[in-house]
Amino acid sequence: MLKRALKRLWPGIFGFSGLLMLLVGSTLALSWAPPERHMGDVSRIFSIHVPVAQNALLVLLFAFCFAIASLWTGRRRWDAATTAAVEVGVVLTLLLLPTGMLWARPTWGVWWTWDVRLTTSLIGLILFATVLALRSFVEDEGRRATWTAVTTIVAFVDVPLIYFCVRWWRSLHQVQSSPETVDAMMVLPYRINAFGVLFLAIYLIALRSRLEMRRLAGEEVAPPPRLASSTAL
Amino acid sequence: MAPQGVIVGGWSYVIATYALSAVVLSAYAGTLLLRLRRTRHDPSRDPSAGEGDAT
Repeated sequence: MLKRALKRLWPGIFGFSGLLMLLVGSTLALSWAPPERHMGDVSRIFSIHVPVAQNALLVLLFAFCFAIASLWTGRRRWDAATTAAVEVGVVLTLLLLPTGMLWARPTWGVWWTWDVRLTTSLIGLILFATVLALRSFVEDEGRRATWTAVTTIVAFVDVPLIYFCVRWWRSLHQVQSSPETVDAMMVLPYRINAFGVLFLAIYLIALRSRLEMRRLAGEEVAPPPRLASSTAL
Repeated sequence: MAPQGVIVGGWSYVIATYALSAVVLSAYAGTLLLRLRRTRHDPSRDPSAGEGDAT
């Protein structure tokens, strides 16, 4: 009974903790953390933009692992988890781009530039959105699961590029900074927000996965549209 | 006057970033909760049938 209750409650615990951490982290970032020497108050954007960006890549890594598990086992739960992680990854990528643009405008002087980090991130968004679009076109459940897993693995090729491109090629976007070179009062809100976004992402994946499982179960129970109309006649 | 190379102000960008993040994350969570609630009331969707193989 306790195991059953825990199974039902764990996403909510993650969701609530994530929300709480984001509230605390964002309050500290906006009111307690000092402004950066050159960027001033604009540097406070980092405390939400960087956690969103890092977790977007992490969630897409989860999607890659779920896709391999889906191909390996053929089980419905991994297919649902892959879809959920891809969708949450797309939402986070969709958020990281405008938050980055809001930082770029006052610091670089432009909303957008075809810099390698920005471009690979945009390509990632398009690739994973395509995975979700392709999924909606395939009717057969087995083929749909295979297609989703294969396209997720192919799209994942872009994720290491997004992370390492700033080191491999010349980029306007700065490389990953180390906490040792950043003031502790700036690191704390960032760290709290990083765990907040991670916990919230886990909650959203669990929720979306549950929804997908119900949708797939409903597909199985409900008769195909053509059969339903012939029965009515 | 601020020294050269230092960004002054920019709070509007900061507020816009945090507001956008709150709106996007809560809107997505809200739609998921709403869709889950809708499927819970649909008798044709039996969650116990969801443990089978995809193939």
